[in-house]
Amino acid sequence: MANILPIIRVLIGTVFVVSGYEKLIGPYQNFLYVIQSYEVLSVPLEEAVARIFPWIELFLGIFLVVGLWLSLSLKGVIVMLLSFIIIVSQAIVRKLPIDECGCFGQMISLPLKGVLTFDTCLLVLTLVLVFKLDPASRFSVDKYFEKAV
Amino acid sequence: MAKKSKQFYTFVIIFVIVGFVIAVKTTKRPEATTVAEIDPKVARFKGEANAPIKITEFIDFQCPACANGAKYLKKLMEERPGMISLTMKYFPLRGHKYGLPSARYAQCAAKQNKFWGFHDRVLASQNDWKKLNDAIPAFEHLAKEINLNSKQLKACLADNALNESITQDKMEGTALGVKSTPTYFVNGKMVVGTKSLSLEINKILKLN
Repeated sequence: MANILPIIRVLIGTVFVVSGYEKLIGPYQNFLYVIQSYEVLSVPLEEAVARIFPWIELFLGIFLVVGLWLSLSLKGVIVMLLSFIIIVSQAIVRKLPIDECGCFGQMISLPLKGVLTFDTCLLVLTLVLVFKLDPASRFSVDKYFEKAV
Repeated sequence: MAKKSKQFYTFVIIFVIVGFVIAVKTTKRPEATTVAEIDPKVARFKGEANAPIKITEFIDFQCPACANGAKYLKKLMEERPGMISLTMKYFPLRGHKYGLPSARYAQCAAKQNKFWGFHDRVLASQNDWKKLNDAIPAFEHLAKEINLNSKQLKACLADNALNESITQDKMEGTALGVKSTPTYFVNGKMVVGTKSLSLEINKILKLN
């Protein structure tokens, strides 16, 4: 189990890296459209989120992969996953006409119910990492600096 | 000391990542920066050629947002005659089973100068045909409704070059950074979805 935790950490980090990177390299208007389709934010907020959010995703992902500021990064990931779950759930309840989540740019296409299951699984795994922080920190930059003290 | 080096390490990572993304974005910039203009005389263009607001739309006839966008644009063009010109380009999405077949029928309608009749009907009846196991009879029915010459239609659908014109549009869209539909270029500026389109048009109308 202790050996699996760093792997899970890297895998979750990779999901965030891929997702953020895919959004960042294309025109931001494509992600803005995805945000608009969920109908939860005001116009200026939609614009701001479309520009900032992919960077946060990318940094959290990289911090998780290399294991930097791990406790804080994992909490950040939990906040993000919870907000995804709430936003996708409200879209399902309101029966918004969204064919696919748009969460991974054009790389992976998932229907809303599929992404809800996926995010819930990621959330559970991230919670496990938070409660088992020490074994999850193996092979991390955090551990390297701890040893250096 | 360790905390300070950790902070330094963090800044280095952030700096490297930002630099890397900016470098990739610069080198992977959309290959094209302007939409190729369609001859105003061709069937996929409507409005005044010298209209102050020139819109090019990349459309997938199976996308619900495209149907909403079409309603919005039709109303706006009726309310403000001469202000807007609209050019339509095909962008059938991979995940939409009838994206390409509907574009094929639309292009055949365009060849008989009846593109807009098909465009309006196929979008208005989208909810009826998109759930069918086979939507081709529905497209045939729409073709009859707009009085397409059935012989010419059959020949057009059998023509190998038909898919080429659709692929050409899609390649142009991809080169411009189009990933989803409806994507509009309003006087050259890219906007995705009806909400962004209406915001952009309102901005231009306020300036005029």
